[in-house]
Amino acid sequence: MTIILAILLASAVLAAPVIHRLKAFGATILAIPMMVVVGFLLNEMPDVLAGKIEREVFANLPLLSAEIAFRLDGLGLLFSLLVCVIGALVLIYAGGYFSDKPSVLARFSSFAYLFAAAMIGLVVADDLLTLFISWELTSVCSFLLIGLKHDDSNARSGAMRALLVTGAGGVALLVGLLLLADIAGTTSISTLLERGDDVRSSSAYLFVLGLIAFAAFTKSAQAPFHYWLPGAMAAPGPISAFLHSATLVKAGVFLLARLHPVLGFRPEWNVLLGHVGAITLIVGATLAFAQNDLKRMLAYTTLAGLGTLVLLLGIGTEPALKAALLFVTVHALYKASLFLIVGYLEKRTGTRDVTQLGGLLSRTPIAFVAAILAALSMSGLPPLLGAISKELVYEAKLGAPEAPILLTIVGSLGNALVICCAIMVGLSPFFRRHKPPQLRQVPAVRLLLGPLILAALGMLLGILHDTTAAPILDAALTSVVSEPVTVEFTLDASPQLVSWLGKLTILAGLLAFAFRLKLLQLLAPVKVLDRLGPTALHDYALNGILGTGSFLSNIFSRDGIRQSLIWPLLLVSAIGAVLLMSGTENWNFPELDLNPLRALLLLLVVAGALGTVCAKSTYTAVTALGITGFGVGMLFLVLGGPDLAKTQVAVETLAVLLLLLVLGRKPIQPEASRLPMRIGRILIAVTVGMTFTLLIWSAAPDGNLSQLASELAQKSVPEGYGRNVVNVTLVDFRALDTMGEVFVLAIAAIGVTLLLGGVTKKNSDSSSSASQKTLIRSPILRAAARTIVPLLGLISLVLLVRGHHEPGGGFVGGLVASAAVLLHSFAFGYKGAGARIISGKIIAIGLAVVLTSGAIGLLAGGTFLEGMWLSGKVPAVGKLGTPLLFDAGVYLVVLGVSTKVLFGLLEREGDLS
Amino acid sequence: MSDWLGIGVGVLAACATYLLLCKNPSRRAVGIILFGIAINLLVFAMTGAEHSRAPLVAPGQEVPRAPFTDPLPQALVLTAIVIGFALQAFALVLITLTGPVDDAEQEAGEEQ
Repeated sequence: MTIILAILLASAVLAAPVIHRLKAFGATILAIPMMVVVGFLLNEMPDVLAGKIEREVFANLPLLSAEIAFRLDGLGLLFSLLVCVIGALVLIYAGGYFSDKPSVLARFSSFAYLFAAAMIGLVVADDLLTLFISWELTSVCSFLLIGLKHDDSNARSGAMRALLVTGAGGVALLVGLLLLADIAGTTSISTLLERGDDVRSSSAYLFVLGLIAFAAFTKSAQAPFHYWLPGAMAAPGPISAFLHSATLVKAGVFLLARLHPVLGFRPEWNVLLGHVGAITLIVGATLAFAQNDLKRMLAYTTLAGLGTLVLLLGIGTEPALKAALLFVTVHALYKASLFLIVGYLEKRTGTRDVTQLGGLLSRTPIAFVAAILAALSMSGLPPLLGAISKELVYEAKLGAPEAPILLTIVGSLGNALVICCAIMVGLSPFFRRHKPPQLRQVPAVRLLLGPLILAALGMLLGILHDTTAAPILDAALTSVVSEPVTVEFTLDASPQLVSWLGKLTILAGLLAFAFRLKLLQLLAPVKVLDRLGPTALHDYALNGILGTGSFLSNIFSRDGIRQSLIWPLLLVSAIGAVLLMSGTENWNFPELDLNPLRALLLLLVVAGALGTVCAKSTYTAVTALGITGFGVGMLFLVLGGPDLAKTQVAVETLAVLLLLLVLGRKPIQPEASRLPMRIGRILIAVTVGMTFTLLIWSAAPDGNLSQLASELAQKSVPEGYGRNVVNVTLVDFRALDTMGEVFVLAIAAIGVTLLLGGVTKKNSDSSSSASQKTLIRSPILRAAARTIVPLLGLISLVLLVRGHHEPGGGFVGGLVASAAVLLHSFAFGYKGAGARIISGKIIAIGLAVVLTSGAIGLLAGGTFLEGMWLSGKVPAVGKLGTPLLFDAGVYLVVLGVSTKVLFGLLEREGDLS
Repeated sequence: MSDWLGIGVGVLAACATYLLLCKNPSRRAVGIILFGIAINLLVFAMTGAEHSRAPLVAPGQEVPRAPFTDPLPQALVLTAIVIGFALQAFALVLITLTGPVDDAEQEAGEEQ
C-alpha cells in the first residue's frame, strides 16, 4: 500500500512541471501513474478475495499510541478501484476540458493526485488516526478543487461552505474516533472490528454513534447538511465528476460501512440512518426534479443516491448491505459519466440549461451513446448494472425488518423522480425539437473517451456480473458484515413483485417527465423554503460568528497604539495592585550592597530615562536613550552578566543608528493634549513603574540558585564541552529555543522589508539601485574606517569562536560584524538594493546552517539539535562539535537580519548628509 | 542591591509607559526601545543579581566557582535583546508608516 501512496504523492508533486512542459497533452501522460496503481490493485486482488490480507505498518507513533497502518480488504479494494479508474479517465478528460488553460490544468492535476492519495489512504487505513488524517486531507483537497477558479466569488464561497461543513464533521469524527479507541482499547481498525460487542454494550455508544454519524452525514451531504454539495458545483465539470459524485461524497458512506460491524446491530443505528437517508432521498429527488440546469440536477440526484445508500446501510440486513455496495459502484460509474457528458455539452454549446438544449443527436452521436447508456443504468434497465442494483435495492427495502412498505413507497417515489431526471439528461438534449445551438470546436476525443468508457463499464459489468463485479462485492460485503451474523431474513416479496415494482417506477418516471411543468407549478410554493433553508441558516450563523468576533475585537483593539495599549497596561497595573495588597512580608530586601560604581551606573540609567521624557528634539531623546542603553550594558557587566553586557552595548549602537534613520530630523512637537489627559497618562505610567518595582522586590530570590541553574552549571563542562555556561545553554542545552528565536529574527527582517517595500518602489527608479551610493563624504571617517572595519570584523570572529568558553558567541559576534559592515557602507558607500539582497542570502544561509547542525544530531542517531562532538581537540578552540556550527548559523542570521533592516531603512531615507 | 535596582527599573518602566502613551511618533519609538530595556532588566533583576560573578568556569575546573549569577535568565535575556532589536525595527517602521496623518502632513508642509 505504501508504494501505491508513494506513486500518487510523487505524481501530485510532478504533475505541475509535467503540465507546464507538455501543456494539455501532459494530462494524458499523467493518467499513466493512476493506471499503474489500478494494475497494482488488480495484482493484489486474488489475495484480497482469498482473504489473505497483510497489515502494513508504515510508522509507529508511540507518543500518540497510534500507527500509520494500512490494510487492503474487500471494501478498501472496491473503493480504491473506483477512485483510480475514474481518476485516470477524469485526468484525460481534464486535458481536453482545460486545454486552453495550462495553469489551471496543472493545479487540477496536482490536487487530483493529492486527493486520490488521501482517498486511498482513507479506504485502506487500518488505524483510526490514519483514517482521521486521510479524512481531513480529502476535505482539504475538496476545498482546493472547488475553489480551483479562485477568481470566481461563487467558487470561493462554495469552497468555504464545503470546508466549514465537512470541517465541522471532521472535528466530530476526531472525538468519536478517540472515544472509540478508548472503549476498544486499540486504534487498530482490524482489532477494533473484532471488539464490536464491547462498543455496542458501552455506555458511550450513543455519543460515538452520534459523532461518527454526524461526520459521515456532513461528508456525504445528508439532509440537513446537504447544502454544501450544490454549492460545490461551482467547480469545473471534471471535479464535480471525480469528487462530488463518484468518490469524495461516498467517503461518509464508506465510514459508516467500515464501522458497521462495530456500531451496527443496534436499533439506534437503524433508526438514525434510516430516517436521515430517507429524508435525503426525497429532498434530493424533489429538488433535482425542479432544476433546469443539468449540472445542478445531477448534483441533487447525487443527493438522492447518497440518501439511498445511507438508507440501505440503515436497514442493515445482509441484502441491504449488498445492495448498498453494488449501488456505490453503479452510481459512481453512471453519475461520473453523466457529469462528464454535461461538461462536454456545456463546452460544446455554451449552456447546460435543459430548455436551451435539443436536437444534438446527429451532431454528437458518440456523446449520445455514452449518455443513453449512463441514463439507462441510472433508470435501472437491463442489461445494465443498474438493473441488478435496483432489484437488490427493492429486495432490501421489501425485506426491511421495520416499515418495509413505507420504505418501498418512499424509495419508489424518489426513483421515479430520478428516472425523470435521467430522461432529461440522457434523452432530452439529443431528441427534443429545438433549434440546435451554435456548436464550438472542442477536443472531442479526450472529452468523450472518459464518459464512454465509464458508461460501457456499467454495461459490461452488468452483463458479466457474475464473473467480474460479484467476487469483489462479496469480498467487500465480508468486510462490512465482518462477524457472520445470521440475519433473520426471509424474502416476503416474490421476484415478480420486485419486477413489477421496477416497471411501475419507470412508468411513473415517464409520466413525471411528460407532466413535469404542471408538477413544477404544484411544487412552486416549496421554493419559499429556500430562504429559510439550510444555506440561509449557514450564512446567518457564519455572519453572526464573524459579527460577534469583530464586536469583541473592537472592544479590545482600537485604531492606534495608545488605545490598544490601555488594556495590557491596566492589566499590568492590576498585577501591581495585587502585589501591593499582598503585604510587605513577602518582599525580600537583600543586603544593601550599593558601591559607588553601581550607584553611579544606576543614576546614569535613570537620568537617561528621564531625559528621554523631557527631550525637545529627536537627537536629544536618542542621546538620552543611548545613555540609558549603554548604562544598562555596564550594569550588566558589574552584576555578573558579561555576555549580556556585550550584547546590550552592540545592540545599543545599532539601535541608535536605527532610531536616527527612522526618525531622521523630525522635531518632537510639544504635546497638545489637555491637562486631564496628561495627568491620566502620568498616573498609568507611575502605576506600571511601581508594578515593575514591586515585581522585583517580591520575586528576588534568597540567594540560593534554582535547581535548574545549578544543573546547567554542573553539566556545562562535562556534557557541553564549554566553560561559558550562558553560551552552552544557548547553543546546546536549549538550542531548540534559540533556533525558534533565530527564525523570529528572520521573520522580523522579512516583515520590515515588506513594510518598506511599498515605500521604496516609488523612488527605486530615480535613485537607481545598481549605482554606488555614498552616504557621508568625510576623509577622516574613511581613514578611520580603513583600520576599524577589518578590526571589527576580526573581533566579531574572535567573539564567535571563543564564545563557547569566554563571554561572546554568535549573537554578539553577528552584531559586531554588522556594525563593521555598516561602518564600511557609511564611509565608502554601498550598492543600493543589491546590499539588501545579499543580506537576505546571508539570512538564508544562516538558517540552513542552523538546520544542518540540528540535522547532524538526527542523522547520527540522536535527537534533533543534540550536540555531536569530534573526539580530538583543536588548540585555542577546544573540542569541535555541532553546537559551534549552530552558533555560526546564529552569527550569520544576526548579521543578515541587522544589515537587511538597516540597509532597507537607509534606502528609504536616502542620503543622510 | 535589588531594592535600588528595583526602583531604577520602575523609573525606566514609568518613563517608557509615558512615552508610549504620547501622540508623537518619535516619542513612541523611543518608548518602545526603553520599554524593551526595562523588561530585560526586570527579568535579570528578578532572578537575583547580587552575586556579581559571571557563570563562567575557570580553565581546568569542572563547575563555576560559587556563588555565581543564574545563567538561565541570562540566556533568555540575551536572545531577548537581539530579538528585541529586530522587533523594535519592525515596530518603528510600522509606527512611522502609520503615524498620525496630521503629523506627516505638517512635515510635508514644512519641507515645501
